Amino acid sequence: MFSKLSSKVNFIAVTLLFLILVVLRETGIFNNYVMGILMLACISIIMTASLNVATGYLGQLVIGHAGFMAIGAYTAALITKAFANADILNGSGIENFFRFIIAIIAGGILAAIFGVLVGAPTLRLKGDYLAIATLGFGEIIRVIIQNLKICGGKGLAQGSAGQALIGINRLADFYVVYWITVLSLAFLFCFARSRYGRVLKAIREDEIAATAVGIKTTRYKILAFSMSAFFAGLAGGIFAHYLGTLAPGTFDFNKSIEYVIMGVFGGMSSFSGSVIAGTVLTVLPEALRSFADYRMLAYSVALILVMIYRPQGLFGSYEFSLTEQLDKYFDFTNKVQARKEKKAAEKKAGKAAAGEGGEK
Amino acid sequence: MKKLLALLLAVMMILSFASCGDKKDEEKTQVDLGVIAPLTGSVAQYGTGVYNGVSLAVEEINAAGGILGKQIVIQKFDSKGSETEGVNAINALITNEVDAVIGAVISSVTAAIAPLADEAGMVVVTPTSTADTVTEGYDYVFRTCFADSFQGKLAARYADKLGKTKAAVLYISSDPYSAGLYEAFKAECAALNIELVSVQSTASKDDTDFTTQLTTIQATGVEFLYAPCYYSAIGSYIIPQARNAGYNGIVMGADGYDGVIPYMADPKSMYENVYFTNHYSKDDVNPVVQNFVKSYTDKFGADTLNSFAALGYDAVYMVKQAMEEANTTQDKEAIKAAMADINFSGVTGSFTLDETGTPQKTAALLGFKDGAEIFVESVGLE
Amino acid sequence: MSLFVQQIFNGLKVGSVYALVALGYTMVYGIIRLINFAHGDFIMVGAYTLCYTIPLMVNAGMPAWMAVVLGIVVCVIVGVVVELLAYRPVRKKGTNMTALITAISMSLFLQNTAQSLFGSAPKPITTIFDLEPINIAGVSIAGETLVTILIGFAVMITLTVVVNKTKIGRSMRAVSQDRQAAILTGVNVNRTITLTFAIGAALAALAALMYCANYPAASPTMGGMLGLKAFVAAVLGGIGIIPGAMLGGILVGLVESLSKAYSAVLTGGIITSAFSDAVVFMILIFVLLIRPAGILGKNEREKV
Repeated sequence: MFSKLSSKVNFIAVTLLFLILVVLRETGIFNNYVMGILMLACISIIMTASLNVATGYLGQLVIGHAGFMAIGAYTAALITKAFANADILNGSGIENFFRFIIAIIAGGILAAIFGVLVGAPTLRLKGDYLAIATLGFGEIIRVIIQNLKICGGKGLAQGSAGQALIGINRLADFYVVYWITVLSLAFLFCFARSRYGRVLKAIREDEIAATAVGIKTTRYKILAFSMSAFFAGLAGGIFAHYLGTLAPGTFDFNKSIEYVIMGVFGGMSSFSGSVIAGTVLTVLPEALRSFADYRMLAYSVALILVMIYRPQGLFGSYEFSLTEQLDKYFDFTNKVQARKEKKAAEKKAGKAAAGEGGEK
Repeated sequence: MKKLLALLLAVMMILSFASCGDKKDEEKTQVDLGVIAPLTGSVAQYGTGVYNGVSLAVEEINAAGGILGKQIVIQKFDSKGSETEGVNAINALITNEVDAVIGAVISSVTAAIAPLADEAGMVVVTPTSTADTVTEGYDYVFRTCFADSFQGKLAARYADKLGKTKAAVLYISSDPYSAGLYEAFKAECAALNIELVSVQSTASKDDTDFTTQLTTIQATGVEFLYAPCYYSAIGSYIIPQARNAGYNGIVMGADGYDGVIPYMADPKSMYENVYFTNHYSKDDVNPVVQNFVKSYTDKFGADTLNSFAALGYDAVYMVKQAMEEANTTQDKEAIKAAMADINFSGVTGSFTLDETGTPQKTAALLGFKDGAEIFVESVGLE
Repeated sequence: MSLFVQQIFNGLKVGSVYALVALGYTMVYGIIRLINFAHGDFIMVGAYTLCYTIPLMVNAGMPAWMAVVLGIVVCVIVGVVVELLAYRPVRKKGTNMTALITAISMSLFLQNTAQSLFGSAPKPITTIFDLEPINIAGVSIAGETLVTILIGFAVMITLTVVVNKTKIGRSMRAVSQDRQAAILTGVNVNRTITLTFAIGAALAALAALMYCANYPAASPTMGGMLGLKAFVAAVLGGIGIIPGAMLGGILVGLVESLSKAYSAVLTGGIITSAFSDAVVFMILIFVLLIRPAGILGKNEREKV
């Protein structure tokens, strides 16, 4: 179903969207405010998609995802600060780009390591218990960060515990973040559609049966969990470098729930759903500011309704496919196929003609 | 494919033309004042106080003819106490080209918006963010309140004045306000040779049980406890639990105690020996204060009358004064310069600003008697 | 030494409240296998009700604690409505995960409703019991704590008797064992579950009374951490086991108090009293790993 053609189509679509955004931004139609919201939407998309791997594919409700985000955010922020202090990669343009990329990847890796540390013991638990364990872990992370000197005030050696971490270089550039989001989604999508993804689904459907056919369930669970944590850490790093300030209370239980809400709305194993829910639920409250007073109230009611009428989330596991849509309206694949064949035939004919010519 | 590219190019061109018609610097006929405050969420009570104070001041100014003849129009943004929402709000206000911004209320939100405002050259006056660092290094960011380090120092000096050589602390380790006050108190205690015999902390400002920490503090026999917490915890939990644990010494706090009276448990006598530093005293005979207290109470009732409201009220008048002294409501560079040199007199005192944009003023030391606030003295750093 | 004993008593004070909350948690979980995340928020509902009904009682010349009757009525109504409108439809088709998400949403809903209705500032509650602390050999224990512990034991015994000896208790046990089989034997499953929720909500109102007696203020988010810790307590004792909730609650209270009092001394100031929440959650994770069924629970291996 996902032939080379569809990846080409998707790549073109994503690039087109990018170009449109570039034009809109450079001409000033999308001002800093709108770009800021779009940046937050990208962060939400990565968070929701990463949560999908654990919640949708592995079938384990994680309600401490903000903990991993916090690890990524603080790690990345402290790394760029340390680089700036040591005057490494502390210039402009390309140097900042590399500093940013190194920092957020490091944040992601540390979050992934914690994912393994947390996952290895707790993934033996099932269902509700695992959810509660992740919640407990998220709280532990928060309390520890709040009490670390290097994570507050100006950070590093000048830090003071309990304060907001301030003065983080705002290195997150929308263009870069856009492509990070695209790459993350592409990676997670391929992962989910790969052999590994199918194994995760098998574990989700029946763990005992999966074990019986020789799947080392714990290993796969930890793999998926730490991958989920990696991308949460990555998103955290971007968040830190967009905001420039990290307050100790940001990554609390409610933050975790926010992403669970997005994941559920989008459909727990649909990446297209993550993109749509992440974008809509970030943009909507801004667009309807007066409604925003009752945002959480509306969310909670909507969430209950979704649980009653569509327990698998709005999109379920449906993935939007641009190629399919094109097929539906333009008979795209067949046309391309026909064109290819025609070209090939022409080539053949040409070759044959050339061959004939050669023979002469 | 070619068609598509052509279409794209066409779209790009239309869009670039559309944005060519740049707005000229016309003289606006009104003063746009942005306000960023948490109006919903868990810290809404502070934001509500500030916003009430701001709207009262704006109403008064508009009734008296506005600033340089122009009426003030408020653009309010709810930060919900979140840094993310705060950044969204300041971006929107910068885009809307407002003339000045009052906000944010919580220090961590102000810390997030300060660099953005400074970069964009937007004058920001935060009424209530007391964290030391929020205005440091930002030319365009000012405040109406004093900083945490000031209040922490005052508390240590008050302990010294009372002849205490030992003190204990109970603070909220996750709360920047509380942790900041503790750090300042600790530093000044070290300078004054006051020994901190017990430092206790609690994880969240929503905690309700402090008995264990207070028992530990009581066991050290100390007579001065610095507890920079918030009014509801002080009134409902900390003081009753401290007195139950047998601690009858002094409990000292900062402006977070303002508003404690409705939360006092019986008997009210246990709140004697509780002191705090505040931005102003409601009982101040200064007509400016009395006028404010009266108009505020008439409009919003006495329930939300606290220093947050007073500071919000003063912040608007600071902006007004700076604009009048600069003789412009739009030239932000000139407004900034006038603000930096301001010599202001309002509800929360008379002051000038130091190089970080922080007022140099005195604080009111308040205590309690029979469940009512009493003014003890005016304290400063000389 | 008396300081140590005093800290134990301080732990009892907070632990007795946790125990009372945990009883409600465990009651519902034991029968429906649903972590009722909103249980903490039922307590919040109870606390706000008390906030308004206590002055009524006092004005009518009745003892303040009588307000709990109205609190129970309100909580039971809220609990049953929540069950009928949200939990029951979800239970029909959903999985464990959807049920848990529904419970979390319900908790959000109640918190945000309270915030819209009453504002985010806490509301003070007037004194409920006017009890003198009892002093024995330099150690004092608050009268409220003793009352809370006594109520906890009374509730524990009553619930055990109800579940084990009465007809309705028998149907509750049947529902918890096998819902399908229970239907076959003529048990009205839906009615039993609704009743369980009603009992759980009534316990929440009782817990609200004792919570407010110890910590006299109500705020929209008060149920959050309280509920989580009570849940930890229920898991620690063995979730679904009624005496386990009592034991777990007291233990969590003791752990919290002792870690606040002594962790800084024992670790040279690295772990301060602010870590007590983290310590509680670490214990939760530890217990889940070592004895997933809790202290009083029996470990069962899952069969194919």
